[in-house]
Amino acid sequence: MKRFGIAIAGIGFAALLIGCDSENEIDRQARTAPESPLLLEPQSPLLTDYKEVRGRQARDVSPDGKFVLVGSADGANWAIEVLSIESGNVVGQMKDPGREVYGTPSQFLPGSNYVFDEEFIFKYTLWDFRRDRTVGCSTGTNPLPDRTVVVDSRVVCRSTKTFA
Amino acid sequence: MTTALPEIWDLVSAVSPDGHQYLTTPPGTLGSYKQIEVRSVADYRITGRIDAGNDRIFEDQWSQPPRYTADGKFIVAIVQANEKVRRWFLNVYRADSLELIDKIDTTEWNPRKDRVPQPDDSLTTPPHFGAEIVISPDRRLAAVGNHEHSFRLFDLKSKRELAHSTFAQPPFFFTPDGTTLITNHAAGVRIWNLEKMK
Repeated sequence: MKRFGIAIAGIGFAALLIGCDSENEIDRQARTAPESPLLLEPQSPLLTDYKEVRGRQARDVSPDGKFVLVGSADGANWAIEVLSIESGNVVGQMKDPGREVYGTPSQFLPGSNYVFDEEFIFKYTLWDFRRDRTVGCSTGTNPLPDRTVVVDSRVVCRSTKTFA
Repeated sequence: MTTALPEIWDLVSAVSPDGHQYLTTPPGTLGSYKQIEVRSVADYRITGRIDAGNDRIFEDQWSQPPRYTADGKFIVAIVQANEKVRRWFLNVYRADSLELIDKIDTTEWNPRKDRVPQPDDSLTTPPHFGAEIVISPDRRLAAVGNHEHSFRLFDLKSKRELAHSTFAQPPFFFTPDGTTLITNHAAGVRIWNLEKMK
């Protein structure tokens, strides 16, 4: 019931975004934000060495600390990519990601190199970004096959089937 | 043939980076509780409990739940002290022994120290929408953000603010080795090299 409640709230929020305010808050800020430096200490900048990937939001860091999962900056997942922390370059791009409509960010699965993406209610995709292929998906109320899955940061599902 | 284990609806706060354990709350304690249960992902069995004593841990859909540090060695929970004046602490526990090893008073981070903390002080009321506190794996740094799009980086030992920014928003991430901080800004993602921090 809680899940449906969240989903309904999400639908309402999405409708509000689409119908009433197509201009995203972040976009507005982007136009008004000072150019640089954004991160500073008065008189003496402490953090000076960084890479910037514009138009993206970080969603997660891989368990080995080598990659960053990013989505589009407007909050919807029209793009899900994996960046190399070392180079800042895109090393993987998910095909046809689900649009994030109610706050379940895409994430790396703990203990694996898979990316988990949820599209609306009970539709999940598992993407192996190293091999660039979808290794599992689920619709309906069944839990995702294979591995541990964190849904909405609150539900753990697990099954015994393994995708080679 | 797929044989699924029973689907459970535990309120999972966090999964350990290795995927073996998860944190959850005792049944019927949504929102405010005194205990965190540590369970095995494989069979949902309880492997340990964290007891917040007289303090209370708050968790709802707008607040930051207990979580692991990026290296999985520590569990960090925001707790409200059982005092007349609201004070929020970061309790840091060892992930293996569940021993409380640090209790950090977040009022140190209150930008308005000249007055008694108020419920609306964004840094003394972490459960506000969008608030986030992330501790580096070496427990030296805290990345703190709030719903007003501010970001601040603190040295937890010296209590000094190392850096700040406006137009930043959670989530923030440290890498497991603690050498990199990742922040979200209006313009995009920034990947900071902490090893070159002056």
